[in-house]
Amino acid sequence: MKSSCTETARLLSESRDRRLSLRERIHLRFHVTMCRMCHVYARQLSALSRICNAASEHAPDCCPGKLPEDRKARIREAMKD
Amino acid sequence: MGSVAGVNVAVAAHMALEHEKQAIDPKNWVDEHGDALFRFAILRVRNEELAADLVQDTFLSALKARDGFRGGSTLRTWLTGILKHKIIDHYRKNKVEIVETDLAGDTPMAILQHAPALSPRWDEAPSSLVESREFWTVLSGCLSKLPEAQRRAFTLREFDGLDSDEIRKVLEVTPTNLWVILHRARAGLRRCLETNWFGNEG
Repeated sequence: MKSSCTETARLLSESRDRRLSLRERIHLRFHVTMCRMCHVYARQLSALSRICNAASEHAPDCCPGKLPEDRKARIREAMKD
Repeated sequence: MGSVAGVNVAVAAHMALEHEKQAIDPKNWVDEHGDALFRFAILRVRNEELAADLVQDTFLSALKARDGFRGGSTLRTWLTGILKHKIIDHYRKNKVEIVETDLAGDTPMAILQHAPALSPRWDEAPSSLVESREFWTVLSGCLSKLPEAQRRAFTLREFDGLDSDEIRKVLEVTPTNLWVILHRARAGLRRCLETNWFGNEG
């Protein structure tokens, strides 16, 4: 485990939230090409984003869980007022 | 025959219109959209009581503002937009303190643990994952384990697609801290999913 892996993991995340500097991009490109572990980590972060996209889109239909019946009744009552 | 078909078309059109009116009638909102809105909220706030409160607020606000609903989008989309604002309001009114674990220095092993073996399941199509009830249980569990500040930042970013500037205004954190919080959230969630889902061939 090299300390540059720590730096790479951080930059891989931050590249999703801000534009990296040229220096940072070069570090990332170089390290991810050379280091199998960080290469895998990069792919997993991409997969995580895709999964969250799908989860967000499908949650209203697929996510288990229901608004409890007593809450539904309370909301219907409140909406009558 | 032609006139009979014409009548049928007219009847069908009338029924479709009636159906649409019923769907828009607030009396039917809770039955038609209550569960969907609740699931939207529970995925983010991880607390049933709070999620139900936010859904109730959403319906009451929507009822007051329903003249503002002009079709164009579906009623579901409109209600979901209101709920999204309610959740952000809740974050603004109920600040969480940024704790040590949100910003603590990286421990490389903790972040990259298990990474060398990329389970092929990480490449599984997300659309098939979200059809699995077991996957939802694991994902929900992993989101629940994240510290509150990390979960708020992460869900605003990855579920709702807000950009860094929007999120740091809601959470009142500096850009640098936000990036660290998001980094730690991704690392934690990646690791939790690897341990409890992807790395587990069972």
